[in-house]
Amino acid sequence: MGAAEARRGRVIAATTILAIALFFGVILSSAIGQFPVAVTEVIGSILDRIGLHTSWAPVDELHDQALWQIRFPRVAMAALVGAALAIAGTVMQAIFGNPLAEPGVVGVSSGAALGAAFAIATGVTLFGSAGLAVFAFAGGVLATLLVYATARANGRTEVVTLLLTGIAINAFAGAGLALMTFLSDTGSREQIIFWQLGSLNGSRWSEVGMVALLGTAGAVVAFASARRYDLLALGERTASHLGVRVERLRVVSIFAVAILTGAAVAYVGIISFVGLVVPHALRMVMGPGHKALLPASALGGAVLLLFADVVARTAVTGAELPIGLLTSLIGGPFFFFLLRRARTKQGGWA
Amino acid sequence: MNQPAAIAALDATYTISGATLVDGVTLEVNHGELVALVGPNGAGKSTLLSLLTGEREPTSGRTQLEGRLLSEWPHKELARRRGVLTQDNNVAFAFRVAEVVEMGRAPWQGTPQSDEDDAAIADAMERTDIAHLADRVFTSLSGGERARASLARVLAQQATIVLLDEPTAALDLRHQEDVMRLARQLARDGVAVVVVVHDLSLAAAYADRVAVMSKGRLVTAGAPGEVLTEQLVEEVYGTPVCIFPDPTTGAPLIVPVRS
Repeated sequence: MGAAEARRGRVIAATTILAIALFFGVILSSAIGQFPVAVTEVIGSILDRIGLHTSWAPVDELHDQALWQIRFPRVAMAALVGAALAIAGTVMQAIFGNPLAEPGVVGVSSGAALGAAFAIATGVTLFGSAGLAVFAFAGGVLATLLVYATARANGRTEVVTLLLTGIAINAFAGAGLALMTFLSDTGSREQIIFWQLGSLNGSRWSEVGMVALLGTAGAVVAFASARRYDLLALGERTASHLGVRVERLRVVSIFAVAILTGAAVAYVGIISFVGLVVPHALRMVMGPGHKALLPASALGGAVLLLFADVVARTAVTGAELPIGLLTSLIGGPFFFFLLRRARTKQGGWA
Repeated sequence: MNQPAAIAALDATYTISGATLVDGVTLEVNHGELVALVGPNGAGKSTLLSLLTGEREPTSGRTQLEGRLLSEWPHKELARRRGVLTQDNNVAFAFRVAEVVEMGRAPWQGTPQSDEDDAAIADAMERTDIAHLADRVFTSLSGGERARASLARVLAQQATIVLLDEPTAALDLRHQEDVMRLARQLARDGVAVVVVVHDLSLAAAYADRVAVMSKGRLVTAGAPGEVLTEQLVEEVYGTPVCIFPDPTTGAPLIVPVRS
C-alpha cells in the first residue's frame, strides 16, 4: 500500500522536523532578549549544569544567572504551554469530531480565565501558588461541561451550536472578567488585564513545575486514548459497537482538556488558537491518526509558542508584545479560512 | 437443539417518552441464519436492532446474546462477538478507507487474533469490492462506496453475529445483490445475520426467514414463501401488491399493484 507508507514517511519527517525546530527554538529563544547571550554560551551553560564543563560555558556570572533565572523558565514555560494547548485542542477536536472545536473558540480558555481572575481578585490562596491553577481548572471544567451539554445532539456535534455555545460562554466569561476587574484593587486589576493579554513574562520555575505536572497528567490521558479517538471518528454509536466506552472516554477527556487548558491559562493568561492551528495543520500533513497526531501536536504547539515568544520579544524594540495577541493574529485568519473551507465542503451549514 | 439462540429479543418492549417503539417482540436468530427485518417506515425496525446491539435496554422483556443478557456482557467481549452497521456512515476527519476498515479490528487489539488483522482487512475489502479504494479518503467516496467501506469495516471485525441496518439503501442494483449475497455467505459460514431491508423481493431472495414488523410489533416471522402473502403485505404496508414466483429461483417477487 503506497499511500500508507507515504503517510508514515510524512509522519516521521514532520515529527523529526518539529523536534529539530524545538531544539533550535529553545536555543534561539534563550539567546535572544534584552541583553543577548551567545548561542554557544546557552549550550555551554546547559552542559555545565549537567556536569559537562566546556569552554562554551558563560564566563560572566551575570549571563549564567540571567539564563537560569529568567530565560530558561520562560522558554520552558512557552514550550510547555504550547504543547498543553495543542494537545488540548487535538483532544477536543477528537471528542467533538470537529476541527473547529478548540479551547479558545468554544470558551474553555475564557472559562479558565474567569476562574483565575476570580482567584486574583479575591486573593484566595489555596495550596500556595497552586490556587490560581485550581481555580483556572475549575473554570475550565465548568465551561467544557457546558459546551458538551449544549453542543451535542444525537451523538454528533452540530457545528453551529458548538460555535454559538462558544459565543455565549465567551460573552459570559467576558462579563465575569470585567466584573472581576471592576471589583479589584489597582494591583489585582493590572494583573488581570495583563493576564488576559497573555504573557510569558516573569515565568518562575515553581510555576513551570506546576504546568509540567498538570500538563503531563493531561497528556498521559490523551496519549493513552489515542486509538479510541480514532474510533470516535466513526460516530459514537459505531465506536461503542467496537468496544469503546464512549461516555467514559468523553468525560475523562473533558477533564484532561480542562487540566491542560487550566494549567496553560493559569500562569500565562489567554493564548488562543494554538489548539486550533497546530492539530489542523499537522492533520493535513500527516493524516488524522491520533497516535501520531497527538505527540506531533505537542511538539508543534511547543515550537509555535517558542517562536511566537521570540517574535513577541523582538518585534518592537524596548517593549514586549503580548503573546496572546500574536497567536490570535495568526489564529483569527486561519479560523476564517477553516470556516470558509468547511462551508464550501459541506455546501453551507445545516 | 438446546443451544441458545445467537441473539434474541424475548418479549422485548421499548418505550420512550410515552411512545412504544417496540412492543413485546420475540425474535430469536441462530448462528448460520440470515433473518431479514422488514416493515414500513417507523415500524420499529431500527429500534429493535438497537435493542439487539445492546445500545438500548428494553423497558421490559429481555435481550440475550448466546443465552446471556446483553447488559451482562463486558463491552469489549460484546464487540468481539457482534458487528453492527448503522445507517449513519460518516467519518470525521480525513481517514483513508484502509484505515477505516482497520478500525473494525479494534476489539481484537492485544489478543492473539490481532495477528490476523492484515488478512482480515484485505479479505473484507476484497469481498466488498473496495480494494481499489484503499488509499482514498473516506469522505471523498460516493454514497455507495461509503456504504461498502463501512460494511468492510464490519466484516473485518469477524464477529459471529452481524446486524446490518439498511446496508443496501445507498447501493445500485449490482451492489445490492453483492451485499445480500455477502450476507448469505456469512450465514453459510455460521454467522447469525440480521439485515434490515426495504426491498421485499431482495429480502425474500436471500433470507432464511423474513420478520415483518408493523407499529412496533412483530407481525410474523418465517420462511419468505410462507410469510409474504399478498394479504399480509397489503395489510402491513397499506398498499395492494401482487406476488409471483421468480421464474428462475421460485422465490417470491413482490410488486406493487399499479393502475
